[in-house]
Amino acid sequence: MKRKSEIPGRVMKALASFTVSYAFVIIAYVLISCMGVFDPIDNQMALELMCVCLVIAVIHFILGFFETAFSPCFFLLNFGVVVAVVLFMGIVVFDFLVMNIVFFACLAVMLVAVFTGTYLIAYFEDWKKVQEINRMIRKNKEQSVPVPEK
Amino acid sequence: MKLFIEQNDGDMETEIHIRCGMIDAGLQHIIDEIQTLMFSLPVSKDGAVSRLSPGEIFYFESVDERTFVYSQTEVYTCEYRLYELEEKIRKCGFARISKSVIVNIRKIQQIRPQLNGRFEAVLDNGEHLIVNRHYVSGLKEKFEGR
Repeated sequence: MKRKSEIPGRVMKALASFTVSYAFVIIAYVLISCMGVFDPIDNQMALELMCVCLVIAVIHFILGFFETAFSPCFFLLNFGVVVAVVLFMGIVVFDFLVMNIVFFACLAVMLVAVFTGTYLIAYFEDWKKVQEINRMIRKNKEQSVPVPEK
Repeated sequence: MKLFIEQNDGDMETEIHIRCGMIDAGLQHIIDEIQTLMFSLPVSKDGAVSRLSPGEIFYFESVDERTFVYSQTEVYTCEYRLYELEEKIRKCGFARISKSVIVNIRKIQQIRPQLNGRFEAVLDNGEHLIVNRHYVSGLKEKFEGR
């Protein structure tokens, strides 16, 4: 029963994890554009899209991303979905994506940075959790009376 | 709380009686400890059946529908399934750490995070066990005595 009840939560976290990555891609695209690598975005739809993504990113953090940050499957899912969505939205729907090798290099660097950052944060969270458990283990060992073996 | 000990050379078996009004957390802890001391599990090795106390057991592992019991240096088999053991030894300081392993939390020396998102438990006898993320919060609650 417990496992069944966890499935919707996990699905939500998975959905949230790639939407936030999508948001990061759009933000990065805007930043890269502003740095002068490409022409600044003049497409109103792209800016609106970015705002929507920011909202999604906030929801993402509320739902809790750290549970999925460690899974290699989710990493690949994130990466694949992000690239697919950005390409589809950028080329087919909004026509704001500059098809350029420099752009894809920047995108790859940004994605690696985002995923590495998330991974390190998740690892740090686990490390903190483990330190707390280890503190309790030490405390229990100090307090426990040795149990005689039969 | 008062403690009375009556010693009689003629008594062959030790009896423990607890007279109380309400069972609080402290008393429950004492009861659990006594039950742990009284409990022993029938195990077998090379056809010979013996009994192990919780203090001797490091962990249980289920492999191919068989349950193995690990002590400091020996490996035994046990007729119970993991879910049955989980119920039997619930109050003896054991916790499930993965789908196939139940560990004696008193034998855990430390927990370490791994790069693949799992955790590793190092036991007092130097063995390393994988702790699934799913069971970490349950393990923590066990240490907190909940």
